[in-house]
Amino acid sequence: MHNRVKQLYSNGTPAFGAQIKLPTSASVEVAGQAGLDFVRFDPYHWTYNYETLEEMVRTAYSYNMTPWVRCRNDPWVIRAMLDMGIQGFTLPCISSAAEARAAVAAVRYPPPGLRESNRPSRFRSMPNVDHMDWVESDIIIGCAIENLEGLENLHEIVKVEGVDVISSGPGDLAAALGYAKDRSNPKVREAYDRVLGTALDAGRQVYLSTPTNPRGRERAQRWIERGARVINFEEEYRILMQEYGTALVHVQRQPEPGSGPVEARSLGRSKKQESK
Amino acid sequence: MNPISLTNRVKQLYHDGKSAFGVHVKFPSPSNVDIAGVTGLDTVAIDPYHWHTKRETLENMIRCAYSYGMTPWVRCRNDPWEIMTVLDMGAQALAIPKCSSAAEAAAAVAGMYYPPKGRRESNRPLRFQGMTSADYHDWTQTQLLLCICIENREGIENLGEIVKVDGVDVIATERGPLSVALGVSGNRQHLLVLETEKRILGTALEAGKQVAFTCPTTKDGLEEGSLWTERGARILLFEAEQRVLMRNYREALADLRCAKFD
Repeated sequence: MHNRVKQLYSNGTPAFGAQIKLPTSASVEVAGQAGLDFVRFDPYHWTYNYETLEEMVRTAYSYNMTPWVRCRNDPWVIRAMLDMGIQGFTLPCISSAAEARAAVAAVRYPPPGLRESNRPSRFRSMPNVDHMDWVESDIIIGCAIENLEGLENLHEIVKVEGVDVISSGPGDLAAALGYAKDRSNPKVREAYDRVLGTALDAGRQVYLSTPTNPRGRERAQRWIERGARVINFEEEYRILMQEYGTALVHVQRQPEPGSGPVEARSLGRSKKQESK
Repeated sequence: MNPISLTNRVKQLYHDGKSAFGVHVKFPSPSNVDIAGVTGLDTVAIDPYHWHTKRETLENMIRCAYSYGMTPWVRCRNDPWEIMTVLDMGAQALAIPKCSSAAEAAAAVAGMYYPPKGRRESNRPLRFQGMTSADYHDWTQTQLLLCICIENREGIENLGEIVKVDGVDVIATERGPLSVALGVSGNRQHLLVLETEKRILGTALEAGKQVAFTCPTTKDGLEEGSLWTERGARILLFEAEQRVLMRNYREALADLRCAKFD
């Protein structure tokens, strides 16, 4: 039982995943059927109950995908995620080397870590000591650098022993840099590239999320050329909203005989309904 | 802010000669209903018939549809208790799968309406308890929508009778089950399947019923959807989320897995 993503990137091969926001195992099955290597869940920003999350993790195991999570950098939350069988972490808004070290400590058993003794049922057939080794070798610890303090301490954070992967988030990064309403500002892009570039230079892996459209794929391709090996496809709700939105515009353009030209109904149509 | 409308949006649109657009939702999650709502769609076709959806989840999905003024459309067994309880949750449209005969269609109508038109037992969703019982009865008469699906051999044989049943509003069919019924299992593009589909939907339109057509969101799929709009169909449903996601992931993966690096 190896962490598929870690195995892939250790061999120099890119791993591809899906950003799952909807709290349902069905999304995980689709990712598995599509042949992806990992799924990243987001109980940090989306409302999940733990039973649902655990079922999603089980579904990931049933497709041999790495279950990855974005969660609070809090020892109790991290322990709960590990107890469910989570194998990869993205810890948001890491500000300092001390915070990164705290994340590593929360994942590992003492010494030198702080994790309390417990493990998922699926790991109970191996001796305790093997499981402890597995935790140290296979769990992926990712730190997201997305605030000013994180940017200032970037060089320290990437050196922290146990940190495997570095990522950033354009939304928070833009807000931190004073461009909350202008994510595509070149300064935001420059900072984003600097975070990932610094991590790669320090021998860390990087994680990035990219659209499934041709432009997104091109961008992913460029990052793969620069050494990125953990590529996540954009959130499923974005894929769905774009696809259905585009489809709606397409079919609304068609003429309807007998009823004259179709009334132009834009995506903001619900507002019009309200005013009736 | 105005109160959320209780009007069946799909029915209103097609009565006005306009098209209603919706999406199949298979995942048991109100978040998928949110996506349809934000996209500006008119209805969500939820499928607890084939997908395991907790009844509490189903009710919350229906609530979510109301919050966007979308018509909650539910695929439901042709069973009076199932029909009654889904209506008790607030569903405004029901799709009855595999209808074989006029008698079965009439049974669905009976399950849907209060006496004397039908046999639905007295109860209603919380959302409708603010109006008088009489007003709610009137609401059901004008707003509920019954969609009958023709997808087996008997249904195809009895099509002429089924489309005449009073209380049936919409006719639909599906290529998967049709291919099974016609002995060309799994071949959704088989000429026999396409011709039968055309005959079913054409017969319904000629009989003055409405038609719901499901299409993929691919270019070809949307062209087909538009073709049926030209023929008079006023309900167009986009394919379910799992198909859209699978296609997007697979295309991106196929592209990037063979990408060159190092």
